[in-house]
Amino acid sequence: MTVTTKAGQPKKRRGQGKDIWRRLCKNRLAVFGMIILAGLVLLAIFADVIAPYPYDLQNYSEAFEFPSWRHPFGTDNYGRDILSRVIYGARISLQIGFISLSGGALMGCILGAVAGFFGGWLDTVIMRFTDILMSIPKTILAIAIATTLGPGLVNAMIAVSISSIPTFARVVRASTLTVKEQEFVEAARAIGASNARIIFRHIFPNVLAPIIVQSTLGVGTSIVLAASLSFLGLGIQPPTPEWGAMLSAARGFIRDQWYMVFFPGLAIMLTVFALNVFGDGLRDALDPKLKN
Amino acid sequence: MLQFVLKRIVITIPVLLGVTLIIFTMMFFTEGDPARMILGDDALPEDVEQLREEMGLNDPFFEQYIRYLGNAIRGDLGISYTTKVPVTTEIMARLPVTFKLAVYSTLFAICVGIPAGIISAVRQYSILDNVTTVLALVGITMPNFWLALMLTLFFSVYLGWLPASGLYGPQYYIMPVLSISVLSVATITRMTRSSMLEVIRQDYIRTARAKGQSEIKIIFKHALKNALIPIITVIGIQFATILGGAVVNEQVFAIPGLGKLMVDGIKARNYPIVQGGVLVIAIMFSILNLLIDLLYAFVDPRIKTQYQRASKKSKEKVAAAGKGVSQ
Repeated sequence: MTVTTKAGQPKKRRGQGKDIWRRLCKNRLAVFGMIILAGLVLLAIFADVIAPYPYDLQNYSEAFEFPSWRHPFGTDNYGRDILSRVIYGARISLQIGFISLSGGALMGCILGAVAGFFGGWLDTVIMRFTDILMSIPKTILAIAIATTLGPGLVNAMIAVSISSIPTFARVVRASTLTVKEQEFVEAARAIGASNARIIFRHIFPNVLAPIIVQSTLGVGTSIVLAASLSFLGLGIQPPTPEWGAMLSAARGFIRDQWYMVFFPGLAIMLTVFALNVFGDGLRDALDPKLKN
Repeated sequence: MLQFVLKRIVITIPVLLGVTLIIFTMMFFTEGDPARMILGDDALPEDVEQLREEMGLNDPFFEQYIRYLGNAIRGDLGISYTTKVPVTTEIMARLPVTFKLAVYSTLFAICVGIPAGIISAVRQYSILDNVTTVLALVGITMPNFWLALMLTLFFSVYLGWLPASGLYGPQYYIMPVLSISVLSVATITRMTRSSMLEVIRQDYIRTARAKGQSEIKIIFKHALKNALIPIITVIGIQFATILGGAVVNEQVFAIPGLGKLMVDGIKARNYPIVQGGVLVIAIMFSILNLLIDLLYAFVDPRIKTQYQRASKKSKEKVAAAGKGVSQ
């Protein structure tokens, strides 16, 4: 019986993957989000080639230039090309979004799976811990952690990571609770699989759908959260071209140089928009029942 | 009902204790010596050491935590490094401003979000629904501090209609409330729409229609009341977003609230203010969660009975398990 399931499983899974992909492609908005996202990732990877100027090239004779063909997004107070900085910013912001979310997701998934799988006092301790983290608003928690650790890229990522742990822990715990009661888990236990093996090989693949959806939506939240930290001066420090830090630096010039504030914010919005519509599409594709 | 309320309050206490432990741990590991901060950079090392001893900073971690907790319960959150005024006094002076902003923003989000969601659901796939859906999507993706800057740009710099900073009258609230609540308006709209759509398809709505009930009554009495639970949940979660948004946006509009106090505190490395602010916000949020849970029971009596049944069931389970073992 084990042989047949083993042989049958990959085939079935591929079929499911195709199904999900087909459903995803039917959703035009999700495809649009996917294209923007792919474009942003390409921008981030090939920033050195695509950006017309280095992000830190200062040219005081061209400071505060209005958007033109030479500088499509204008220049800032140091005469740096804003378009180039926004392009390089994609690299920083996407990195922060993905890395900090992955960290938080990993920790949250492990905590949630352990809590759901083992139950008992371990469950109580872990869930009370997430309750405590959740009783501090996300932005405030991130601010508190970033204050403790001090400003900087890595510390901002740690702060954002920790504040996204509870959401994942809850989602995974809930899914684990339903999955662990199913027969294949019992079967795995009957053939003598270890707890770790059951969690990683049998439970994780089955709770993957909510994790993926939560992750896509979470990257956007993480990017905005990191940008807020930088905006408050707690995150990435200038001259690194992070979008939030750029907005923070541009704030003082809003009266006469609107383009300094407009474009970095637009970049954040576009990224979060792409991640959101893609995430929504993915959720509908993974679980067609949910769709209204 | 009283039992339910008491039980819910009892659950909140350990969570708040946990919050104080986390905040204290952060403060404990934050760089910089509080004694040195209070005395200034040119103080003698002996003086610093003496103050450390007086403040109990050389004591073990848990001893310090217990003292911090005892003080916090009595309302003593330490002394501000910069002004030398008790943190509680400073926070209490600023709290009403942030509280007002948060409450206005929440009310605005509810008053716009729920009707927009209802209209969207009732007229599904109409132009109005499409416009609302698109606007909600834009609202969800827009960083609140950027919207704050854009509103300033448009209404203050370009049109000159609204004041760009400060908080001296009703018109000063318009832009902060709009920017702080944008995400919440959008989220509540989406949740109301999907929750209403789910309910509208139920059989009892069809029955109500068949009975010849008026559409208004169907929507508000039959549909909305049953769609309300997930909407209330979202409102509760959104209050956290609004508090966070207020902290960030007070900076943009130079509003003298708790958020500005905290952010100025971060810049001046005035940590007791920051940690005190975090604690007060966490307490506010916990109280709101408590109220939301009580509201659930009020809106949906099933939840209250479920709660009572669950506690009875768990007792029965324990008894049954005990029996099983003895057999």
